[in-house]
Amino acid sequence: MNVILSLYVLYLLLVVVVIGWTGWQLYQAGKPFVRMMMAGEQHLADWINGMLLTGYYLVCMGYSFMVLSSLPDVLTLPDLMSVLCRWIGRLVLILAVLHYSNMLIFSLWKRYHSV
Amino acid sequence: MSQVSVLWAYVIYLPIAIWLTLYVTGKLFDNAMVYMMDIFHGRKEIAVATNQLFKIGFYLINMGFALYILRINRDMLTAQSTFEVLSMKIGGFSIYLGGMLLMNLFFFFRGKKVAGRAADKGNNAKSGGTIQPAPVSLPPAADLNLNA
Repeated sequence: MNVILSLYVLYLLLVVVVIGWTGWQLYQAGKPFVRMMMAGEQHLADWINGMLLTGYYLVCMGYSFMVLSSLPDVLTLPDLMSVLCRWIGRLVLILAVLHYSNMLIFSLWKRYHSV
Repeated sequence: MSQVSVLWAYVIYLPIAIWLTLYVTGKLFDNAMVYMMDIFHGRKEIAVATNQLFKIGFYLINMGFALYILRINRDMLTAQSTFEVLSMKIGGFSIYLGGMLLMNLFFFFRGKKVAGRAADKGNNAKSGGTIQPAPVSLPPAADLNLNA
């Protein structure tokens, strides 16, 4: 019982840290791109960037909280570690796929709208 | 032979895998700035931002993979099997990292080539030269060049 509770607590902490850090980094690095896309309307661009960050947080946090209850039962410490790493790893891989598909969409957008 | 918990193998594996990822990513993207400046024709702000975006992507995909393959399907390990299992895992992960590194390098070269072609095309159009067909089927990662 204690092991699974500590799994949940560690999972939630790690998820918040990972998603928060990634989102903030992407928000910072994506700023010039959104500004370029909005062609000079800087207020609008920054507002859109903020909305994108909020949406990203909502979706990712929602997903990772939803899968919390499907974490497998763990009884021992090694089990805890392997399950934790596997699920955090899966989440990070999903984030990577989302990130790359976002960049792909952005580059396609730029090609067909000739910004 | 005495046996130890598999936890020790995890404790050894995790720092090595994380350090490897950090080291490779740092090396790759320090040197990538040169290419980014070429691809974006010296526009520093966009080049730095793109470099950062790719760096985050590289971190995510490799850290995620390193964590995902952590599990060892045994409860106890002997000293001998610890060495065997860990070298298998770390060696495999290194090969995977090398593959990702080469793939990224390929994208950089490709991006540079495409950017050079686009610049040539711009010059031709200005001087009334023939219009070349647009490059098709580019890899997604190389495709962030801006037709300046």
